[in-house]
Amino acid sequence: MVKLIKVFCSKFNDFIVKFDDFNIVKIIKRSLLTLFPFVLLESILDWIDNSFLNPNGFYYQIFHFHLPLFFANSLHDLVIILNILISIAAAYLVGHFYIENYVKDDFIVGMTSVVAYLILNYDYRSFDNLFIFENFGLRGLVLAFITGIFVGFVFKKFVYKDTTDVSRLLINFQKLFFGVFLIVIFFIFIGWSVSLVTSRGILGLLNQGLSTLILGKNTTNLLLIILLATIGQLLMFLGIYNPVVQPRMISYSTFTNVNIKFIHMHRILSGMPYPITLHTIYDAFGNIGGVGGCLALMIAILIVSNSKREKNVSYWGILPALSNSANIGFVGLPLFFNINYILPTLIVPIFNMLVGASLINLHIIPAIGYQIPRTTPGILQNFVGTGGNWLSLIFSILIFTVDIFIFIPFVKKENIKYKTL
Amino acid sequence: MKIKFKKTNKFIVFLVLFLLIIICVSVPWIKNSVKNPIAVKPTNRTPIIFVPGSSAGENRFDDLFSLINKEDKHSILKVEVDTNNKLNIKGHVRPTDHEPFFVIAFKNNKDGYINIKKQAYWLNTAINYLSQRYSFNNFSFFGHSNGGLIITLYLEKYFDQSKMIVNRLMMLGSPFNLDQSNPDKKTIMLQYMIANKKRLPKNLIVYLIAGAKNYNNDDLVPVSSVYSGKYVYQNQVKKFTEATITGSDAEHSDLPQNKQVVQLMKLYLQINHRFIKNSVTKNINEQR
Repeated sequence: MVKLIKVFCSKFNDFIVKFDDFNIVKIIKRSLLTLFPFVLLESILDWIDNSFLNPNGFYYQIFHFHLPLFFANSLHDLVIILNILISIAAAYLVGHFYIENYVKDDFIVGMTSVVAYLILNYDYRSFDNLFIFENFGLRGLVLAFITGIFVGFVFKKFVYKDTTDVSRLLINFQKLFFGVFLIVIFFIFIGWSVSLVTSRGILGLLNQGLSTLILGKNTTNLLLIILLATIGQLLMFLGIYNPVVQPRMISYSTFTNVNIKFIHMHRILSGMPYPITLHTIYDAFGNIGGVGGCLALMIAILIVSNSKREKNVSYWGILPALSNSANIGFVGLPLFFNINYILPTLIVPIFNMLVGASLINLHIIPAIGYQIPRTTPGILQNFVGTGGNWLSLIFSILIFTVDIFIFIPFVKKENIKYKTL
Repeated sequence: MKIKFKKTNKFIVFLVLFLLIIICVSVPWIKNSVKNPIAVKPTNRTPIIFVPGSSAGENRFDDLFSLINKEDKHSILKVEVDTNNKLNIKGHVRPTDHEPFFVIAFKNNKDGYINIKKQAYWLNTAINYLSQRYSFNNFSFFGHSNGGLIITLYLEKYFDQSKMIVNRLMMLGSPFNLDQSNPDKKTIMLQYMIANKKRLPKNLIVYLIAGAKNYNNDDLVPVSSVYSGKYVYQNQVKKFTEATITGSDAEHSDLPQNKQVVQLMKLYLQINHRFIKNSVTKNINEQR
């Protein structure tokens, strides 16, 4: 058995090295690091907006902030602008870095990627020449990556086919025009065809499809719940929006409604009709270490890491991560396409959910039933959701401590990598 | 190296302190939200319940619905309550419809205080069933003629404020003093309603509309009888408004499909309004 684990570990290590050597992974990581300052600004503003200024925010409710709506609105506008910038920049950077391996000093691929991304998210249905603003920002990152890589690939195949080691000045402009033309026509066709099916663009189609696939199975089966949460986590690793962490969607499931109604009538948590649902298990326990265990990872980094950069990212990201906004960690560390941390980020929520489900099934603590504001810290979600059950809080803190210890060996492994650099 | 270590430690201490403060601050808030039942959020679905008057069936509001559904489609569900409490349900509710229309009619739709009392009981049965089946805990009322009286009796006698919320109530030509046009001679029903008015929900917003063909009545109900509703609602609920509608289609039975009434109804019951507001906030939330 031990041998088997050792073999698996060494195989996995080989895979890690190979995966990190993939050209595309390198390109994406480099783009993420370039984007990070913008993402940092956007995430912090978004965090302030959501948790302090929004009436549904946790800090807004407990501290009774009542600032004029003007602040929240203008901050929200700023966040949208930054979101648009981030997506466009991501498309540009990926396209640019992709072609850089073949041709030096080329900017036209990046620019064409931007154009392609904009064309893809144009609202063909509206009469007002609008873009689908929902699809910009970090949730549109995967689309930006794909667009950039696709555009780079097309240029590599069709435009720079026979050129070897030349600068862009020597290339015939007709060839460049041909490339741009091809991309524009192709993306207009794609965007227009998608607009026939849905009004939310290609990304909306993807997100909607995934969320109906994952959340459509409204279930009380523990194994299925864990499987769904894990799939969501894997999607996050690829930069796709995780439907499971949208609390709004979870809290409106049928089972949760029945639970709320039960509490409404009886004002008591024990004997709730559905103690095990995606909401009571994932929100209350899977989320304890932050989204994807991001909060626990950041604290583990602060304790043992010797990389100054990662530590600084953690300093900035910890308070937003406490409010379930893990963007700073996912772009800054980065966690997207980071195979080193994929194992613990999968293990931690599974472990949490298993422990939580057994605690609920053994009737040691009740399942959550009261409504939780979106930005409630993961550690406190049990406490708030059970209406102030202290035992739940103590168990949450214990689970959180274990989460940190699960992350520590993996952070140490990263340390070795930094030493060899 | 030593300095760095200290910085990290300080930060973690700060984090723990921050969490402790949050926990301390949030405890009273949590206790409050547990104690106070209204702190439990109202459901997203806010139906409008229509109650027809005497000798009118479940199809009483069809003309009104066709006028409203021109703009935005609301699903329509018609319920007829039998005298033995059984419900006959026609139509269905779209799962995504936040503002369905429920018509609750009664097999025994006769006039008279005794029948109205029975109808209020049947209304309670129907609403209890619908709120379970279509998961909502807040709604608005629209009552025509005796429907308004049935609703008022229901609110005073059966409505449980710890479980449900009534947002708005609009009544059309409801004869609170029955046929009696002299407001000094109060009928037994009106006396009962006034005696129990303390049980009406405090946050209710009420509109009472009277139709008038001449200075006295709408060919059936005396205007002064309609306005006797003020003895029940005024200074008892959050807002209470009375209005008179005249002109064509102002006869008692034509009132529901009167274009002016439809406009007022859209305004007062905020039909489509909440839907628009919701879709905007939904988009904003999704961008976040």
